[in-house]
Amino acid sequence: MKPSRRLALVLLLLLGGTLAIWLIHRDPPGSPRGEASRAADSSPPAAKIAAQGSISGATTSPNPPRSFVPKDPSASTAQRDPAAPSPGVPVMPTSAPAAVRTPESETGRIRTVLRGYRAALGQNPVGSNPEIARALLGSNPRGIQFLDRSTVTLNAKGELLDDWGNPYFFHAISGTHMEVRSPGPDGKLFTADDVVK
Amino acid sequence: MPSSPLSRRHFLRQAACAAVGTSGIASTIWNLRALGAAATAADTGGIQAGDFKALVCVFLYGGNDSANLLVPRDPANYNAYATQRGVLALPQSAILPINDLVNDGRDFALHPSVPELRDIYNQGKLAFVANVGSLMAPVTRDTYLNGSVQLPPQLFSHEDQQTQWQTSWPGNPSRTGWGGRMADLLRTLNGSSAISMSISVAGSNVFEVGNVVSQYQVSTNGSIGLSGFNGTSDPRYVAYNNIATLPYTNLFERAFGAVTRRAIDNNVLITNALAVAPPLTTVYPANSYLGDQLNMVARLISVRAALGMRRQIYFVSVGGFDTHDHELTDQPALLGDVSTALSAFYRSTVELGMQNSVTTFTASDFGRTFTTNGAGSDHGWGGHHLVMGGDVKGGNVYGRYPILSVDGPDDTGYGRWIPSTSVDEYSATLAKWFGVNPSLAPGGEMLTVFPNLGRFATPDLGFMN
Repeated sequence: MKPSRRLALVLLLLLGGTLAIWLIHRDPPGSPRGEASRAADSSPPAAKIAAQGSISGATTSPNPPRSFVPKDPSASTAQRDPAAPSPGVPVMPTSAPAAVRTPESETGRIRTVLRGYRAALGQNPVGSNPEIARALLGSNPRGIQFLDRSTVTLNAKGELLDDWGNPYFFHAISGTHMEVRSPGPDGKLFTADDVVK
Repeated sequence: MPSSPLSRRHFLRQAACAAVGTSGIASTIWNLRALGAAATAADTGGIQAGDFKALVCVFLYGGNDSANLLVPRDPANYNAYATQRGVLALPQSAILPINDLVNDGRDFALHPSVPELRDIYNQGKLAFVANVGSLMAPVTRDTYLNGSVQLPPQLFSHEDQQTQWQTSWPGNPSRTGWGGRMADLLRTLNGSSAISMSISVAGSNVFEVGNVVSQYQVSTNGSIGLSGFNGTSDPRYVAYNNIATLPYTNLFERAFGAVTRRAIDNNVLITNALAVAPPLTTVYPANSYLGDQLNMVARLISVRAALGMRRQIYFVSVGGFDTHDHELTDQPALLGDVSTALSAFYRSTVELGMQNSVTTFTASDFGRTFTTNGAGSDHGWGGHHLVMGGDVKGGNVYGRYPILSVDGPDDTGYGRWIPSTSVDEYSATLAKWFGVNPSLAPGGEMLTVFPNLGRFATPDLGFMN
């Protein structure tokens, strides 16, 4: 066999092998990872960074508000906030399906969202619960929505609530380390039933 | 050469060149004057031959809730305090009244657990500085809320605020602390002393990291030597010593050998000096880690002459102040420990006759929220601090105590006080006392230690003689 034909055969085999590996290991359509990858591929750079930070619902607000204010604070109660997301912003669910949703998974989800925030902005949002909630909902320097308002619960103070309707507690250890604490079923912080991530 | 009429354009061009040249000369003259002043200060600088000064940083890790350390006691302000602190409010009958020299209509008291500090305050040897915090520039509520002023990164986070307090250079990824930079400038005052000017009894810290001077760590029992050897005549010890002394050609090997050699020498020097020093009679509180650390500081000060040192910077610390919960039970014990340990240390300096040469000050991550979460308080910003020593203009509260109104002019919202005094101003006042040239000339000593100091109004708060 001529050397040029041998080289062509080797290249063909390599290409075929690569294709086979990709087909075996690719994410099935509809899987979260696959969706995130596709979202990242088709998103603006900021959203791509957010997607790389393992956030499923990060979106970019075209005109980020300088200071987030709920549209109608008096109407914002412990009920699910039905407010629609910002116009033109693609919406992706950020909470787990109800069947698999647990307080642990929800607290873990907030932690994951914070990880995404860090990946996109380099550091944690600053402040206490309402300030952090505002930052995650889009009031941050890059205008990225890390949480979809339709999937989180806020109280009248703008605090992010856990599954029992109590505010999460955010403990800033450092710019890259944030402890997220849910008061748990008894609604009291720093008791044995707290959910801490 | 033919003369040509001077056009307006030509004139302006030459004038601009001349202006640039003149400003360069002026700048050079200014720098030479500053250098001359700095050199003079290094030679004399108000420092008499044979004098000694030690600065002791007591870091309260976790963020002390100083709103319950320095409490208003006049009726109007106490009522504001009690109403807004909720369950954390101390009973008016329990707080320890003090008098201050500031006639602003406000009177203060101290936490019931610090009677020893109250006594030193009343002797005029302890002062408080109100509402100190990390700042990059002065901040008001308006500029904070509208985002028109640069804020220190990661406010309200433990590690970032600890670092910013210790570097006094927020916004800069500084690897050096203000104590370390100060030691770099003043290290010649210690002549050929082998011991570092910066000594920590509480492990590694950023405060004492310098570009030139390294921090030297000791334990509460003294210097830390090599372990695992059976005395200095142990053949393995001798062999280890010899290995460290070999003339290595590799840079890293040579540096490692030098560090090891120095550590061995310093251990011998300090151990021998402490062994022959007369024991201190001051009794320190039992079971107090802070007390043990300060006791070691006092012992090291007592052997300053044997170590050949005119300047020492110490770092001690105590943790547990992150009182999100159980504050009413935890904080009294913490403050009680600080009070008894600092009091014993002050008495030690008196016993040594060195009380005017030793200044102790507190630092902490941040103050805490004035409002309560029901069981404690959360991360805040500005907090109150104390300075103690014979050279302190004590018996007074310096700085501006915040207006106790949540969502008022001193609040970021959520009961976090916007500092009215920067860490830079607080620290620079101490640095000036320690011997840093107070001139704010560009390139001068003070701006080398505190690069942001020029942004603030009061580089000397006036609490030191």
